[in-house]
Amino acid sequence: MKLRRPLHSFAASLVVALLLSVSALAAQVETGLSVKSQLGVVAAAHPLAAQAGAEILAKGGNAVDAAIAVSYALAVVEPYASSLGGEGYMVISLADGTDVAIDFRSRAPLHVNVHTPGEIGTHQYGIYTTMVPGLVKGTELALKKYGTMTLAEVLEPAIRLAEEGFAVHETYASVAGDAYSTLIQYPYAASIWLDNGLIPEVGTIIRNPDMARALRLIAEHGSDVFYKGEIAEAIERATNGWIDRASLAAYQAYERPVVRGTYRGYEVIGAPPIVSGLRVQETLNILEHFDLKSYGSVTAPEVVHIVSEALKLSGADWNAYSWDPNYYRIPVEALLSKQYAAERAKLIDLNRAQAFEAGDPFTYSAEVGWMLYDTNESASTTHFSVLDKDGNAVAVTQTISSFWGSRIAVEPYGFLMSDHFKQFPKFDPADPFRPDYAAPLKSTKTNLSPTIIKKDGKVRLIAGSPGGVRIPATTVQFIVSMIDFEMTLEEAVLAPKFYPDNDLSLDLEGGFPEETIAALKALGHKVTTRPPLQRVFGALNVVWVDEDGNMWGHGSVRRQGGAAAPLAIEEPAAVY
Amino acid sequence: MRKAASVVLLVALLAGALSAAPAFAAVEAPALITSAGQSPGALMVRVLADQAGVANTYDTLATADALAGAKSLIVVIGASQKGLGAAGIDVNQEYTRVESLLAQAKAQGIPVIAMHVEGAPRRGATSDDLSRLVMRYAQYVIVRADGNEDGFFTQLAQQYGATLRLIDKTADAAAALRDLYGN
Repeated sequence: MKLRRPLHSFAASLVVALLLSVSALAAQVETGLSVKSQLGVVAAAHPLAAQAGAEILAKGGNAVDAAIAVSYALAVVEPYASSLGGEGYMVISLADGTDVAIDFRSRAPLHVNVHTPGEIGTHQYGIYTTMVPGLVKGTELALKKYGTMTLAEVLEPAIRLAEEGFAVHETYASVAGDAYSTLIQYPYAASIWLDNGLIPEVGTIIRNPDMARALRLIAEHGSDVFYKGEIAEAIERATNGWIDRASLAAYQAYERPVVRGTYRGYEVIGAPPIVSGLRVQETLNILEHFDLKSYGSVTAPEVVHIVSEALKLSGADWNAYSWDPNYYRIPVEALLSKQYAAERAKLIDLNRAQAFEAGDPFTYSAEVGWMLYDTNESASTTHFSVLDKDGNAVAVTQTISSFWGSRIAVEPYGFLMSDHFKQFPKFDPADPFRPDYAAPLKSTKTNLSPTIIKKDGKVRLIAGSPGGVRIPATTVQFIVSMIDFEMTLEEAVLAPKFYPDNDLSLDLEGGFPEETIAALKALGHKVTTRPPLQRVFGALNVVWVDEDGNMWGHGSVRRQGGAAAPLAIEEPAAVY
Repeated sequence: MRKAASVVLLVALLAGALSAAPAFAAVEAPALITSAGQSPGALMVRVLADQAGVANTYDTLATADALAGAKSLIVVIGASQKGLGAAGIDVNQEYTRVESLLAQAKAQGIPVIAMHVEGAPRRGATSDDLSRLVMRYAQYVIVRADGNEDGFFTQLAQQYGATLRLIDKTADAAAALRDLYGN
């Protein structure tokens, strides 16, 4: 894999410098669209969040400490995609060989059942879309078990950002504009994230002292204040009892075994069901049966066709067999098997696009699987990647579902609740055993795909993306760009992305050659095209380690992300 | 001689004041606020009109019937594909609706205020087409200055004899509306 510093990094650094001007640095870090370091690196959807992580690394924290700092900083500076009222999935790979996933998905309140979605009616936003949040519990679990710092230490950058404020950038203004007509209907939310009732203009300073207060409480009292204490009471009030204190008190985050596979000699570590690491790995297993590099370019029609077909095959299986593991047994081993992938790969016809049904993985496992599922298409959610100087790696994808979530902000603590509950389907008596019906403390299915890739036991790549149903596609394309085509990190991030669906539609981001588009149409793909670098295709915030051990971070160009690294690591104070 | 000169100066000042004053204190409420292009700008103008104390009705898809009872028409220009999609219409349908509304306003003698408050990011071929349409009927124009860096609205205002007021920030439109409606 080649590496070079991006041509536009100077301009990006200038932008970042402006963005940073509101918030003083507490530790010396380097921030830009792309950074290189040997002391650890962070990439996130906002440069200030990446900086928060690098600051923790500079203070001697490990990757888990830094990841939690990023998680909370994003809740401040990217409030449309992250929140204390949100959730996510974290994959940790430590230098000592420990690989673990932290499931902090949101869960349905205790009082719901399969009939609840039908009884409450259809709601796009508002109280009845909210779920019991997992971010505070999940990050606490990760920190206690795998971190080295206190909550107070890792929350300090987020508290500072919330109090001092940050400057609105184009992405914020655009996302606020898209949601303006609904956001303005929720006065408390509007009072924090709009500008006197208007869409904030670029450069407007957003301060959130209410969230700073919540963060200080969590720093002092831990997650109990959120799930059992005064913040729990505020959540119950804000949701009119829908998210009640009993449900909050019952919430648990889980440590889960990672999904483990290989791709062309690399070890791939992903997140297990109910999220999509399984699908990413199955796709890669199928792709191993094709010499993608022989087609010359990641934008070659053959490559787009083969990757599309592989994604559709894995998507059909994911739709059929991947559910909340607290409720259903998932045929993980079978779906990960190379033999099963070989059978699936044989179904790909190089001369025509196809729709695929789920396969029969049970030859390779005796576990039980289920049925079909539809999900929405949103560019929301956020991903970040952290690597420390010792080689500990963390990949996190966190979300509040739609941009700006439920629009319900918890007063007086300045954070939004997610809107995942609307993804539970209404009960259909003709189809009584669907695995995605609502149930107490059940999670909805999502496509989160935080992924860590190693070679010879060393971390080489940390990847993931937001993008709703497009997340696995964007993640797989990035991995193929890096491993098969040996692109630079910048080239792989910038390369045009695509999203195939099983109705033969193929949505192309701008940048594919006309000959590729014509060839794909000739293969039977129903091609649509969009302008270049569209947010809907995700936002890769990624880390790569080159052959010489240099750590590279790159923020997403589709969402004004950034990367940051410590310039030095503080020595711990001597103890006498 | 000095006295005569003073009188001339006073008359000149008064004339100047009178020629400027009607431009921005001559419109009556209630206003009908609508969109030309379905961007969020129309809703922001409604918020600003409320802040300015301008009585209004707000209908992003207003047709000629909605002019009943209105004493002025505010058309907020800004094309948004997402907004058009959410409204279930295409650009051609939007153009036809706005043109029909403007023609009815003219027939009823209702003054038209064109507003473009989302700045440079809300310029583009579709927005500019809608601007050209609205400016043909507008007597008053309020534009965020960064949306007029190429003089697009200045030139159209001159062409159609409309009074143009440039504002630095979207929020400044509240003061412009206050002046326009004499609040």
